[in-house]
Amino acid sequence: MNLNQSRERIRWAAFIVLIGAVVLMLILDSTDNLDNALNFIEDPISSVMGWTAARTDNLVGAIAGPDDIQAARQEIAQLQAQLESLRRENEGLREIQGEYQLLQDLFNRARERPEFKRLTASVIGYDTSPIFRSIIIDKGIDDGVFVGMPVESARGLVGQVYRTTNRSAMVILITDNISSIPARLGSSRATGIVRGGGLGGSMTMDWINQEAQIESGEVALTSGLGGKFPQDMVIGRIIEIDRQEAELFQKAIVQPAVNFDSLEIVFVVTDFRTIDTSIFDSAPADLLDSP
Amino acid sequence: MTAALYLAIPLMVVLVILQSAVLPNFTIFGIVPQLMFVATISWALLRGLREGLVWAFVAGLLTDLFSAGPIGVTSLAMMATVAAVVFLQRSFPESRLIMPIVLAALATMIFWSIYLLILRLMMPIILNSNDFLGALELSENPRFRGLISIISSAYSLNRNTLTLVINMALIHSILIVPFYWGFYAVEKSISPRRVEI
Repeated sequence: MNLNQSRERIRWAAFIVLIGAVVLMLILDSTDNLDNALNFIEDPISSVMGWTAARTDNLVGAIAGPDDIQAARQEIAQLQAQLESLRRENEGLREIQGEYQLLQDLFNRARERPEFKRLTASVIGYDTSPIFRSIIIDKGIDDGVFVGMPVESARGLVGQVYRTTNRSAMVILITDNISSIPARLGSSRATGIVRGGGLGGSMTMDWINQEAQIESGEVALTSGLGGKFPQDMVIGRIIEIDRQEAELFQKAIVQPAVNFDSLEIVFVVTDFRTIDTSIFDSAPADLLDSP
Repeated sequence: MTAALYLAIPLMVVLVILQSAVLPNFTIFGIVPQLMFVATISWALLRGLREGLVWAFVAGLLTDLFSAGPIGVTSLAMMATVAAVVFLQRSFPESRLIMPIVLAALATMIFWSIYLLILRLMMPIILNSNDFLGALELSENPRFRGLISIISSAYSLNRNTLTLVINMALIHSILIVPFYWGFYAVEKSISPRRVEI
């Protein structure tokens, strides 16, 4: 065997080893055995990423400064014009507010609202693939963040913890294509699933019964179906309704409550436990045995 | 091979930090260019298949670590793309400007075709292994039948992904020029000079 032949063999062996490693990683990842093994790579990079993101935010702020002032001036002028009409409208609304407050108090008393513990986290990075919508936060297993925990911001639901390392976590956003959240509308009480639009698409609420009289402007909330999210977390607002007579269900386009482009701080709901409903999938053995 | 690895790892770490933490604030037409991909293609065009594959493996692994995609998919798609691009390079005339520009655009299209195909095939497995997302459980409800196929069908060359791929191909074909020339300078300094006898 000459030198060239043995070199060629080594080269092919290297290719096979690389492809084998990739296939092995795919298998380990799909069985959830890879996350811990790769922590040692992700954690130091995440630390540097956090530092870099903070510096970048400062830089972006400095660059965006003059534009913001111009935009603010224009906004002030518009707001002054709106102020007069709003004052008049406000008088009428004060009367309604009194009635609403009474109903609200009654509603709140009747509703059992659990108090969740929330952990504040900073956004330190975004998904490296343009086809996925996820963010990286600076809290991980060491801080009590685990896979599946819901994540929200001051304005509404952000997503769900997807992967964790010791000091960071990846949060899959509700706008990602693989996100499917059981939802209910605030006024009509219609239910369905809010699906992330993914790349370039809009977030939609699908599988809404045709009989439901839904309207633009209704707020979409988590319904709690499936036990993966707490009830009544704000997802967004209906902006367009698509009702086709020939279809079994109607659907609506949802505008997310959260502006994901300017997300800096999020809250991880740490004491919400997802409910395992898989026990209902199969009938108990004693029932099956009985005649 | 070892030198390629020593160069690839620190460079890719810097590029993944830039791509994840810095570039999302400075998008080009709303698109974040894939720096690691451009770097890998540039190196493969200069140094050939063997080193290109090593770079593709490292770049893909780091991309997937900071992405919601399954780990290994980007490596696999990038390695296949590098093999295709090096093969295509043979039929191109020698050029340090036109050749990398054209091949960067082609490579982007090849990469996305393979990447989306793997994602589409793997989506049921991904949803199954991430049962906390609840999609699989919901799809078992007769009312929400078809949920999984709707999710999977988004990973295809539809209008949205096609727009992304074309825009990204254009951006990558511009971005490859500084990468290719920079690496050309590095390559000249690390490679022994070829002497014809």
